[in-house]
Amino acid sequence: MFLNLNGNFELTDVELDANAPNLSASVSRSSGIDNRHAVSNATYKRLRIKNAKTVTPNFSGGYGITFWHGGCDNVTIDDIEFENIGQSDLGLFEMENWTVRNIKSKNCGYMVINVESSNKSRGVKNGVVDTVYASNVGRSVISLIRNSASVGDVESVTVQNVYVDKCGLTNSDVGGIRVRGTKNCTIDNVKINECNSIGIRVSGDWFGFKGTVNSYADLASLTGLNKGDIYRVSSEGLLYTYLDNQFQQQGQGQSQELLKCKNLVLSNISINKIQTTVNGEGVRVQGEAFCSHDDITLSDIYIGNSQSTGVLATYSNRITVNNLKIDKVNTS
Amino acid sequence: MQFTLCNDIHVQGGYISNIGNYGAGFTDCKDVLISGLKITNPGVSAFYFNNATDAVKIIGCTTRDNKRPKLMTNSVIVESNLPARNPKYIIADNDFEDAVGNKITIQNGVIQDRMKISNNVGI
Repeated sequence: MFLNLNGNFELTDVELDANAPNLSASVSRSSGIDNRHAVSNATYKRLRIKNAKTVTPNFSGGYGITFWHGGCDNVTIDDIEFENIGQSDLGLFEMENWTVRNIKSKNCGYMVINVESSNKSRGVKNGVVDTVYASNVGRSVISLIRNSASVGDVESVTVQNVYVDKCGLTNSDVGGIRVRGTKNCTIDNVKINECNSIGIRVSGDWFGFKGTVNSYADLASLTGLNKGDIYRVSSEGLLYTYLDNQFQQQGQGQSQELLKCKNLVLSNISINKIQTTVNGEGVRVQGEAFCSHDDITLSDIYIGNSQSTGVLATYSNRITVNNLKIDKVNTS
Repeated sequence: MQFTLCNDIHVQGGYISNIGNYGAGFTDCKDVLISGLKITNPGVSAFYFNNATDAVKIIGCTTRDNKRPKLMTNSVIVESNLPARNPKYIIADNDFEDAVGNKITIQNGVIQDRMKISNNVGI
């Protein structure tokens, strides 16, 4: 099944069986609804979409519903059931003024809801994700990330009322909820019962960073360079990027600034049973040098029965932690 | 809870209990205010500060160890590896457990005159 919609419409009461288990791992052919044109003032309501997993189990095959480039605005997605989707159940890659609510997901191979301002995208803004029930998720339940190549932001997105039974089944690192490079986003009222990865991972990735040298002159002795490699010169406190066969200076955090989180609120979070013994924090707010997060609020966070650290934060400024509750963790 | 290379942190209320290692650790941080936090049964110390974590206030916190034998070595350990930065600490109005080791251990003499320790139970 590959339904390609565009324009202004209302799609209701549809059951789609992508019937993909016998297909090769082609994403587009095996997706449920794949919007690759402009969609506006559209409603998707009471849909059941299943079996977009292809021959390879877990992360393979198609999406449930995707919104690619072209301007997907004023869209409401309500009362949708996903089952056995290989990629993300919902892929929101370029949208403004949207609402996603009442989502039920079983056996998602990748991410239940992936909000990602991707390559060429003008961003994903002004959205609400409200009420998600998910079980047996391969990777993340919610992902809010700015792609490094994006020209648009993930901005002003609220995620609330998310209930999860088992996530991170096939990836121990990405996180049950994953956040990168967002602005003014809130995640409120999330309950995860059993997570095989980091519970919530907020990252400030430093793409292309290869290492630190003492002086500018040391850059000349580096070998095996590729376009986009970034080195820090410690004597200057500056970053240099290898472009056009030479190093060009960046301002402090110039490009990496885009991948830090600003004004992020995580509230009413409960994560029980972190199963991994390595990198298995309940909440990890991880910035990097030149890419530190600003204004992070963690309110009413509960982490219980974790093999690893409850809350870990690096390279972040202005962190407020209210009413933290950590019980029974093996490290700090 | 572990914070590294973070600035302007305010931890208020809540609890940390039954931990394999220390309860709340801060490495190379600046401007840390911890108030009203209760740490029970840490595996090592309740609070642990190192690498010249600076401008710290611990106010109105409680530490307890109910295990037999008690595992908490200290309520507060301050371990500065960069004494030249001369960090400053205020530890006041806390209720500290009578730990196996000391209630407060300062592992670098330079910072002692920058410590203001007042009105803590048992100190």
